[in-house]
Amino acid sequence: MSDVFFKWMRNTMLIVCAMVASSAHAQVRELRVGVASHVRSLDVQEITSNSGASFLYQIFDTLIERDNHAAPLKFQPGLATSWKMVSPTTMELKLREGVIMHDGTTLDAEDVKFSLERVLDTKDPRYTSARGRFFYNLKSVEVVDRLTVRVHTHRPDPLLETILSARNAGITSKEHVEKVGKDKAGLMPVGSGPYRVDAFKPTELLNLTRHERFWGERPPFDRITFTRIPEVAARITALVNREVDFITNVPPDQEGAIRRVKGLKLVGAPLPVFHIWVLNMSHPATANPDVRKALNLAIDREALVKGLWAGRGYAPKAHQFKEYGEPMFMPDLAFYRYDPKQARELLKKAGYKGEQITITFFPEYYLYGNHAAVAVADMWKKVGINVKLQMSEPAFSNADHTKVMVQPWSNPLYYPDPMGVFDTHWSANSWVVKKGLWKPDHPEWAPTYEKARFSTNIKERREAYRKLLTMADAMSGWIVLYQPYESYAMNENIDWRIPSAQRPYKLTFRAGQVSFASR
Amino acid sequence: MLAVLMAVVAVFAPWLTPHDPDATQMLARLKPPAFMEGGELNHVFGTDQAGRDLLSRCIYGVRVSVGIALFGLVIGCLIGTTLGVISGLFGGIVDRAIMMLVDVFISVPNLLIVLVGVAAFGTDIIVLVFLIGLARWETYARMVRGQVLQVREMPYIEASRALGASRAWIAIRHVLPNIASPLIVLLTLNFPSILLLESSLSFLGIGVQPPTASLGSMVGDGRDHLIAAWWVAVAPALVIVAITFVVQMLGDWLRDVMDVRIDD
Amino acid sequence: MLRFIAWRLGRAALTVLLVLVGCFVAIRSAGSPVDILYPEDATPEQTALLEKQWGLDRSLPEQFGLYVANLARGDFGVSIIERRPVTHIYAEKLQPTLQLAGLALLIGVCVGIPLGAIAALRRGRAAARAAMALAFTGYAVPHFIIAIVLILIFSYHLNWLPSTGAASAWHYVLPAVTLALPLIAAIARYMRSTMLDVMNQDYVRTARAKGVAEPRVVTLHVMRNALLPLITVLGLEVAGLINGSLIVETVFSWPGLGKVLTGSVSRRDFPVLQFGVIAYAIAVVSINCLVDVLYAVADPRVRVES
Repeated sequence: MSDVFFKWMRNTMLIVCAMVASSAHAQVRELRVGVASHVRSLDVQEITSNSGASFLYQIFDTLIERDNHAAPLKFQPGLATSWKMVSPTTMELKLREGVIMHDGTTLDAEDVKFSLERVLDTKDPRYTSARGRFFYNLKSVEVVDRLTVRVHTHRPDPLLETILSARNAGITSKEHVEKVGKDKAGLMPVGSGPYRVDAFKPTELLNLTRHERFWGERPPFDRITFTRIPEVAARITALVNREVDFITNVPPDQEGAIRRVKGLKLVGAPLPVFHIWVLNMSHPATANPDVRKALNLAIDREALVKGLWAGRGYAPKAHQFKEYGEPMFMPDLAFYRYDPKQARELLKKAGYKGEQITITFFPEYYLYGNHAAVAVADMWKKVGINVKLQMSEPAFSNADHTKVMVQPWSNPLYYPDPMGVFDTHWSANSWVVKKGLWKPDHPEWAPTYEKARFSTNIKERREAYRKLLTMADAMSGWIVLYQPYESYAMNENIDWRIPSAQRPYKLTFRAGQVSFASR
Repeated sequence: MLAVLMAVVAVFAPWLTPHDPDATQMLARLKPPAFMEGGELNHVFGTDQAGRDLLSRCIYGVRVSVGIALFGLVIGCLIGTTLGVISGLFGGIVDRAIMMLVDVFISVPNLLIVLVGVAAFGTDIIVLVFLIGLARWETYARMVRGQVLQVREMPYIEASRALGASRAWIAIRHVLPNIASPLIVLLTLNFPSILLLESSLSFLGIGVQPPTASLGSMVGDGRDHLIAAWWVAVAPALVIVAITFVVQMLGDWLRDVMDVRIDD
Repeated sequence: MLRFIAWRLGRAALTVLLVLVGCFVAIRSAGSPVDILYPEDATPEQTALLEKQWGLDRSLPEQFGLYVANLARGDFGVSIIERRPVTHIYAEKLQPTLQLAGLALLIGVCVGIPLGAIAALRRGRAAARAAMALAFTGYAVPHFIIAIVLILIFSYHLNWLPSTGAASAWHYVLPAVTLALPLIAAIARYMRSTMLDVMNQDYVRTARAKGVAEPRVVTLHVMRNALLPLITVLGLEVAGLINGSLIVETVFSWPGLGKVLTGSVSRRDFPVLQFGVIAYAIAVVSINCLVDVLYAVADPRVRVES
């Protein structure tokens, strides 16, 4: 034991010395972020989760970037300085000269081909999610010369720029991945962004430092640390106690704990993300559409929004966001309503005899998902459903999906277009389809989907989308709970805005996106 | 006195609670206790994160936690006593094998055993009771074995053995009555640690599953609201402390009264 | 003496073996390793590799043999979640856990012994009553309650001490105190009762009767004889300390083994869980073994008894 103590004493002394030294060196600009959830890997093509969105943008560049706040979307040069369509299914992009990556190599067309094409490897399960969300229309990437690539698609794609500006289209170093292998590269990734990975403890901690040879403008921080603090109260305590400078996912009912402390502020919005429960269409308990409709009708969304989100969230009536703007947002669509009486009738019609329906829930991943589960369980009980709650954990969730009846999920808006939430979650290539949770069995579904996604006539896309939503409601394969209202809390001297043109939960800490007034 | 109260609460929970412990009220979340501003007498302890009445949940929580702990205690006691008696009466290789097992269980932290069990068999309440029961069986086994060894040397046992009484008969007729009082003391002393084991597990979220109220899971859920609504965690925490405190005192008192020497 | 050590080591080895059997059985009853390790889509190569590695086509005893052989080679498998060898994960997190547990043990001993001694020597007086009340409370209040109360007071309201992580020396204070409180209680209670026992022994009475000065009686006769059995108690408390550290590390987001282990249960990351259990069991068994040997060296009577 004594050995351990000497070691401890020595480390303690070192830490104290380091603290003294660092306070003398006040010039290091560090941002300490407390996040609700973390990632197990930083493979930019693998991680599609809400939690990954906080990190990947600092490390990886995409060929095409977006203006963070412009609506409608405005594209900007990223690693590509210019791009044009050379045929309906081919886009040619010119790459930026002299981009030095974190491993010291220079970015070239081979890196782009490698990064984007590995997603198309259907044998590697780690890329199933990103492929289903964004890249299933991608055919190949052709190297024209060292700084020119051509991206080929199967069908003409009206959303190609949008997709190439999604973070999962980030470019990594081919040399690095080939040298260390995919697993290790996921733990110690190499991108070309303004920050590089200094230390990464999966699911727990990520330390970034400034990439000295970054091609763009020098970023505002020398160091950023992301620490996982899963409980809301613990995150707030850490912020109030000045252990971190910035925290994510603060619900409205706990804002008071931040407000009564001087020097802190909140930045919040009803985020364009639906908290969703997928009803497994392959499970006997939820196979009957009348049962699924009854489950939908038995939920009082207004009560959830008032209770959990202090009335500041949003109880939607259809699977669509106002953010689409005209003409894709259709205010007349109203599918979701609260009707326990009809729910009971449907259950009777379906011959429901008290079979147990289990709600799987994640205690922390989707903010207040645990409370929603408890509340909905009670609502379902009232219409005569035999409910059980089962705690689980997401992202790491290696549950056997054939046994899941109600699976929690979120549908964030990846880009302001119906397909930015629909195609990214419910396409025939998505994991929910692959696992049989979502089985669109209507004969019209596939052709309508094709139109909604790929038609170049905007009116035709709009009508197809309307038809999709109507069919989806008839199948009732999922439950849209609400749009949550979440805030970020931070030191008053941090000037940061939620990037509305990016997917929810994305943190933007590059030059010009955040500033840090000196204390 | 308090112990009796606790038992009454656990048994008569359905008649004592002012509200259904699982009935949520989304519009009445996180109401403070009656004595605070904004509190109401309808919810004396206030309400929790889902608008459920905390007093009712505490009462049911006592029922669930104490219930699980008691069942666990009985299972552990049965296993331990049986193995202890066998070990003491048979001696030799059987004795050694059982004492070996006791050794294993002493050296593996009981939370670990439960963790492995939960990972393998899930968080079913019956699994939980059984795993918790496994947690301290070795204390009974050791104590009972010691007692048996003592009793075995008594002249009247030798006599009944000479008269042809079977080992099982000896165990039931002569050994068990002798170990009754130390067993009661040991049970009482073990109870708080079993209760704390259950609460710790439920606190971590791998014990009793929601919406069922267990004192530990209530504190665990309340931790998320510790700052904005401290009462959600504090009310069940106080109940846990009160129970363990009382039973602990009861155990010490019993030990003195029955004049039993047990190492704890 | 050598015979005693050999016997004790044999017993320890057997204990570890039984723990291995337990782990093996538990993991096997949870399902096929292929389903557990590749719940999503295993490629045929991955399945084939696993089947070979685990010997799934052979008999159960053979499989157990293979399992032990793998462990003996230091092959504890790869984390399902983090996709890296579990040994790497634990190597990274061992130090913070040892530091925290060590510090708690130190606090427990340094505070618990004097507290128990006071309670015994000043029996019936206010100081002793206060000491024992404190010890009693420490015994009845679980770690997770102590932890959240301390965080609420010292982190949120007073802003004195940090509540998450292990970034500086200050970060050690709250978790170490939380972990130490029940330990203090246990040690103080034990110390008090042993000292009271020792004080009633003939040789202490004799020493007093001979007119040996009271402080000398206390230090030379009472304390010395009471401290020796305390070693055994401490050995046993290590198991309790580990139970506690699992909880405390979770509440304080401590970058140690506890969080890894409790997390692995809800993530069903069996390789991680398995290694944790085996490592903890080996640690506790060897500490207890060491304690017994030390005790036997100090007190020859033990050897004879066994």
